[in-house]
Amino acid sequence: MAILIVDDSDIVRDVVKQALNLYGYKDTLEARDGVEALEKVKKDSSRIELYVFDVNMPNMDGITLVGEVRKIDRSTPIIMLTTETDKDKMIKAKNFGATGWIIKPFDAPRFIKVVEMFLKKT
Amino acid sequence: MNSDEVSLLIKKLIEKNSKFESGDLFAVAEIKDLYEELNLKLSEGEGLKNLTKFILILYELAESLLEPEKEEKILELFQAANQSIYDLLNVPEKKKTAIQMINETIAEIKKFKSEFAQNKKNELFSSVNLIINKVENLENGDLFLISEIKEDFENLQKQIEKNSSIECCLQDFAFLIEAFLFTNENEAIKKSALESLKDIILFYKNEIDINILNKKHDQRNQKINQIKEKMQLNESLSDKYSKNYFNNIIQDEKMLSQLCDEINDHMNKAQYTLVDLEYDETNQENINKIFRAFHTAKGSSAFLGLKNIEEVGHQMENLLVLVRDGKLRITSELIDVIFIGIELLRNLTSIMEVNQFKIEKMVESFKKVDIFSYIRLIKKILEQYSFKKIGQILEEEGLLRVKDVKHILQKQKETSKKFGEIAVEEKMITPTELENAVNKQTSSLKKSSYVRVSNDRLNLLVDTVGELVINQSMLRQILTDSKMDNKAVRERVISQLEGISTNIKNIVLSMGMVPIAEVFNKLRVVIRNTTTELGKAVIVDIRGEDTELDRNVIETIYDPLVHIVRNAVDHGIEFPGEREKGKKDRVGKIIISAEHKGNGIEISVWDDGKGIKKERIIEKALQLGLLGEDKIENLTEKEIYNLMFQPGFSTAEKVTEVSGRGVGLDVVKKNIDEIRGKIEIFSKEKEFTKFVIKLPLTLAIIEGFVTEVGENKYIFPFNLVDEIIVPQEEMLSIMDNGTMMLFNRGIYIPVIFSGKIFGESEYKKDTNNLVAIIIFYDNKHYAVVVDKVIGKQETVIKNLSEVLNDLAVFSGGTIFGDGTIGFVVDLDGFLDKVKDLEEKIKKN
Amino acid sequence: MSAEASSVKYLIFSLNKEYYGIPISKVREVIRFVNITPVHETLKFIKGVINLRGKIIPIIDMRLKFGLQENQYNDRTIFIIVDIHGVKSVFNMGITVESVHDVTDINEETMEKAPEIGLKLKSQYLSGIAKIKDKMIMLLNMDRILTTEDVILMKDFQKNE
Repeated sequence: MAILIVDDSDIVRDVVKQALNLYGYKDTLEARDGVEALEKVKKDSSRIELYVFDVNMPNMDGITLVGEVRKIDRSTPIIMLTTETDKDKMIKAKNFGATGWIIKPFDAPRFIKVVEMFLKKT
Repeated sequence: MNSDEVSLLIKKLIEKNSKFESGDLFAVAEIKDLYEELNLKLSEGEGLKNLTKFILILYELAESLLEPEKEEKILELFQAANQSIYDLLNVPEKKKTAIQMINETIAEIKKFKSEFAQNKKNELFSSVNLIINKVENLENGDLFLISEIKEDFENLQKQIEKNSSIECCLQDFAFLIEAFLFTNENEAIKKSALESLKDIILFYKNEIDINILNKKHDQRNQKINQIKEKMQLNESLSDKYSKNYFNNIIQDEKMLSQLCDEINDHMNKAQYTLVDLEYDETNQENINKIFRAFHTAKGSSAFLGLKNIEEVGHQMENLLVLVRDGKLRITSELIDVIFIGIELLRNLTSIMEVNQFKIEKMVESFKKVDIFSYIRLIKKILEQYSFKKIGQILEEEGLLRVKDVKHILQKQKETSKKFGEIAVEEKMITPTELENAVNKQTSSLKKSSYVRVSNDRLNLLVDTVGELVINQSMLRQILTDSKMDNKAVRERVISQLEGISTNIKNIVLSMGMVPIAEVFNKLRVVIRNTTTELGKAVIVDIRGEDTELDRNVIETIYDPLVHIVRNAVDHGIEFPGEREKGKKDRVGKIIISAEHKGNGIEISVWDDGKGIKKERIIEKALQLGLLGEDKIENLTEKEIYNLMFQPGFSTAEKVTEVSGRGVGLDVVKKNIDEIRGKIEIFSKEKEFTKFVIKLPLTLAIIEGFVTEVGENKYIFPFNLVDEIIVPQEEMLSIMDNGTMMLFNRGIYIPVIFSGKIFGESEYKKDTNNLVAIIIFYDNKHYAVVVDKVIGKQETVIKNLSEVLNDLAVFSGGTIFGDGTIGFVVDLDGFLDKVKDLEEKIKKN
Repeated sequence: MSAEASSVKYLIFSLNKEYYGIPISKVREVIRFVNITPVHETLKFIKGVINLRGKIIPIIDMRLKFGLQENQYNDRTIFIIVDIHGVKSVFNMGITVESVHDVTDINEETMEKAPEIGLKLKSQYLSGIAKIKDKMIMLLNMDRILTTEDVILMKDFQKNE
């Protein structure tokens, strides 16, 4: 099962991916914006066990993406990555179907803790 | 079991609990972790089995914190639970009550769980009822209500877990809504569609309750199928299309198929763009794109005689013109309307394709598609948003009688003039009255005082800030984790940081900038009105209207410019007869321009009128006591003109309607001072007058060129620095008047010892090894001698205090990375000071 | 000292063995000496500017302002940062003093109007004079201290001396 990381910043994707790999989640998919992500979801949604979305991205932002993904996949948890200034947006994201959010910056252990809340690895 | 550890854990829990913010995954994870840990610690102790069970319940409950509707109650339960656990373990005398509390809490959690399930059901019921209400209120083609219902339905859908029967319910629902919308000519179909809608909703309601529906489900399906059939059979629509409606279709399969491809292509593009538009409604280019899509669809279908497509395209076009002109705001409803238009056109093209472009078959199917309710819908919107007619406003104001309006309308048919123009010509109203009416007409569209920033720019900013935050966390990591601390990583992070801050700077600065065109266009109107009022004739030439200025500056600059422009028409430009005598064109000329100059922006108003009589100004100043007799002789031209900015000064020999409104040039100067600008007058009698306003760029950040002179650092605007040279002795020469010149690249450049200008006592004076920066400003070169060149640097300009306002040499100060302060040189002020010093030397 | 309704807190400092007071409400903060960046070609008593947490703040030498002999600054020199209501804006300014004594409640009743004569300072600067024990404290009106008018008077005053 894979985790889809969507963020337009190479740095953030790198950091998140490294953290996941470090804790044994080797199967990751990446996309730089909502449009690219949506294509991957359409193709691979059955394989994805967790979504990690940035909020602000070109082409299609994270919140819209949540709405779009929810049309295809109702249940897989979606974690939003956000900055503190985005709280209003978070309410919107939740209404669109996001599971919850994490405030940037975060360190790997904290991030993994949240990820593991959803993925009970056996 | 360590009781200190346990109470610490509970304290942490209480704190986390009180600070919990909805949706924060960390907090949820932490609360769960803490309960888990607590459980672990307690299980070490004896006889606490029941307590550990309780904690397990809490642990499971924590997961539900992610559901917003449960959150509040859970936090409440946690609060009670945490407190009683704490009391139980730490406060022996409260042990009994604590146990009681825990039992109560457990009971409450159970109750909450079952209640919640019921609540949710009730909630869904009430949303369903709301939809039923709305459906009952549906009027013919009320698209807004339909879109509301659609949205409600989708929300409802979200609240219910995945269920295939409900899924297909939604599809039916969508179909029915459309059936309802497009068949509203046929009462019977409408009625049964409405009924089925209600059925579906009831089905929904039942689905929520219990699954007894299979039977009903079948009934419903039957009904929907009936409607589907009826719609297929519905011939009544064809009555709507007049007999000859489809008679002109050109029988050319190839062309028709090309047209189809073309329209589909355009519709795809339009749809794409529409999605963008939803997020950035200000994007003019996107509005134009959609407009063009419909425009082309309209044009080419008209060419092939496809009247239905043409009409839909035409109405869409009308709608988009409103949007393009800013008269209609993009709302999600409007986007829905456009979407439906796109779908409608696609529908029509697919009919063509399906019938393989055989006209007879095509027409048959065309007749089943009702385009009229859609067209009606658009017309309704257009009506709602269109302006009141000028005539109507004037009539309401009591300025025109009904008879007059008719008369003007009659005249309007004969000429291409506007209603207002004719009314003024006929002397029925004054230009001012017209202006007021026009203002009224557009007032509903006036911009609000808040700043509109394009979504793109804003998103980009927020995003860039996000990157900054990440970068910051990386920096922190580098600082705390010695493994990470190597040169390559550090350099990467720093260079990223630099990139990010440059981005942020550019975005933020661009946000506040608007082109001056808006102001200039208003000035054009002012000039036109003033000239008609006075019976003068003027050509207006506007230059550099796309120069961008800070929004606040634009607001402040408007009034002074209006004043200056009115002055130009009133006092500057002569009457046509007078001009003819003076061998000038009968028509006067006013040039309004804006341009970047040096470190700022220059706005000027030039007129070829009678110019300013210096004697008259001096005379007036003497009269008013603004000037002592003894000072007349030494007055420079600039000083004479500056007298006009003194409070109470007005050169108009008679107070005229236009300029004499009690506002003088002193107010103009005050306004310009407010935005740290400078104003200057140039004039030649009988030839011209020119007002020049110099504004500093409000860009608080410039590319600075840092130098050291004496004990301080001074920053010159980098864009003015041409080159740095270390002049050889033979390049320097002393002129007769004692000034030093530098011969460089074939020209003589005056040498300025900046230390002298800055008042530094210890600057390099000997001509060996001078360092000079060549500054090119206002078309002239200057060699400014400094002690040391430090280099280019982004410089944030900070206000020097009001105390230091007299220092015209500086436009501000800046703080360097090491905390020291430098001064940013204002070239105008600097060169003025140079001149002053030269004059002083001459006099001595 | 009892804080009655009509009393105002003043920060008392000394210059050249005389005592001055500024209403505490005008005092933003009191800081130790920091490096001054000199500003030339401006009023003589403006010694320069300092960087106070990213803000550029002008420093006024009170000795020069009051026409006294200039003293070298040292580590014990103190800057009092005050709020000034200027012509165009409210801004901060620092004044240099030799030492800060204390904060005292000054009762309006013990305050006297500044007499026009017999004082070194022009009365425009002064909002009053208070006597505490045997000390005379000159209460300064900081907003007035910079207005051009006063500056001209100051120059005249220097000539007269």
